Amino acid sequence: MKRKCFSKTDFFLIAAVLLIALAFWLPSLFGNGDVTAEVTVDGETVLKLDLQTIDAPREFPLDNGVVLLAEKQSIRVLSADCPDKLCVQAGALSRAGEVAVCVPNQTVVALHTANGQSEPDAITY
Amino acid sequence: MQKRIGFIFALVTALTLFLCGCVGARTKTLSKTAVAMGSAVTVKLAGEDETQIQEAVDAVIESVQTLDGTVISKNAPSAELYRLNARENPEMKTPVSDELYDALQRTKAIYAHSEGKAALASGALTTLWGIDTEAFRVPSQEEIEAAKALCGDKTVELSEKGFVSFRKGQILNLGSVGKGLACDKGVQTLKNAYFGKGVTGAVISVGGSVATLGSPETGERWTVGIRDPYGTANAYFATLRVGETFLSTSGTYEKQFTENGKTYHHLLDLTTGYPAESTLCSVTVCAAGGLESDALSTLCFLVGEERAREVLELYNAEAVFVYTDKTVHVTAGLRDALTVTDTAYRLEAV
Repeated sequence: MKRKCFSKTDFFLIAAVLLIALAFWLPSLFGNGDVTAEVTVDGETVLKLDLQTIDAPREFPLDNGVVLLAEKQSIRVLSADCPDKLCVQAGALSRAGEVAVCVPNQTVVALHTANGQSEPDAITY
Repeated sequence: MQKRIGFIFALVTALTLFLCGCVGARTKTLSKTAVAMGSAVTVKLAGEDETQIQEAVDAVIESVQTLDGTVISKNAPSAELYRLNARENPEMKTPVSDELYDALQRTKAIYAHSEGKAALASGALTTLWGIDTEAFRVPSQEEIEAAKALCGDKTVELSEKGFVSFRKGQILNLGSVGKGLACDKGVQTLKNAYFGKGVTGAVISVGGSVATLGSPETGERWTVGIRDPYGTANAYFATLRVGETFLSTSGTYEKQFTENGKTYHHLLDLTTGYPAESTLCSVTVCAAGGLESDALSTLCFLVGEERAREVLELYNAEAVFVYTDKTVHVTAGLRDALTVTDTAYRLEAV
């Protein structure tokens, strides 16, 4: 069998492998790779979740009565005993930089990523 | 052939790991959100030393909390402004700290351009509507007239030696500038001990007022989203690419309540005693100081775009005006920095 240094099959193989590699690499570049939810009460971290690892919807009741619902790729405040419910109205958080804050309960749910460069650094409101 | 496949896999895997490693390994960024001053305070810092970033984040949050609790809160008995308002005889000149005097003086100076719609002495009306305590209610016409008479800065005297006096019944209020002032304080804290000594960039957000310092890990400009007035708390309709600056937004969606089918917002027009009637739904101001950006955003909302543009010029400040029909106007200095990302909004040349 005559062997070329670089056959057509080789070329396709390299291209295929590179494409697969790129598919894994791109998401990490554009932010939505490893989104971690960090929950703090009175400044103390009470919960840290890698949202990619959540397979089925799961509730997290906190000691102060705030209940969180984590699903694959997102987390929300399901219920809280505060009067305004602004934390519940914040809805499902899925992108790095998003936060839900319950001021009366001193509770913050914040999403972080190691490389969330596609999200704004802050939001003015 | 088998061997070759193995080799290619190994090569590509190594390359991929190398590239991913590069993305994460340079400057470290740390972000922390806490509750201070009755609102969410987020501090995002970039720097080389992780321990120092951590320490700086905590110091900023602490300084904001202290500013509120010991100086500018009008509801906490521990604060200087509370005690100033609580005096038996406010008409007697009283000395105040430099920090409080400076805040009062800067606020009064800006609101002097508001045609009486905003003032330092606005507490009688904001308290009546329950805006500071968020125990909202619609007061009666008699109550509004009585409170209106106690608002306005003509009877507020700030003398040069740091003395303050005002009419009995009046309540001085820094509520509309507090978050911007907290941004000033946070930046000052960083500049005093951390910035340039391990911390290379910072974004401070206090209840929606934003300060940027230095530069981000990548590039020279920060990206700040402007809240979508019709979306959820994390939604933005446009972004601004900015260097070191201060940004504040006044919008009708914040602190609003509905009674008997009518929705009331928190931006009171002191000349009527009611929430300002406007076709604007938010104004974002970019200025050289935090207090300035916060006071000017309130003022711009109350006086409307035409008059606002004149006042902005005096302070070398820029603004983005958003109307209820989702048209957007921007001043010349911010035109290139603004990108409208939500297609429901239309940028109009003015």
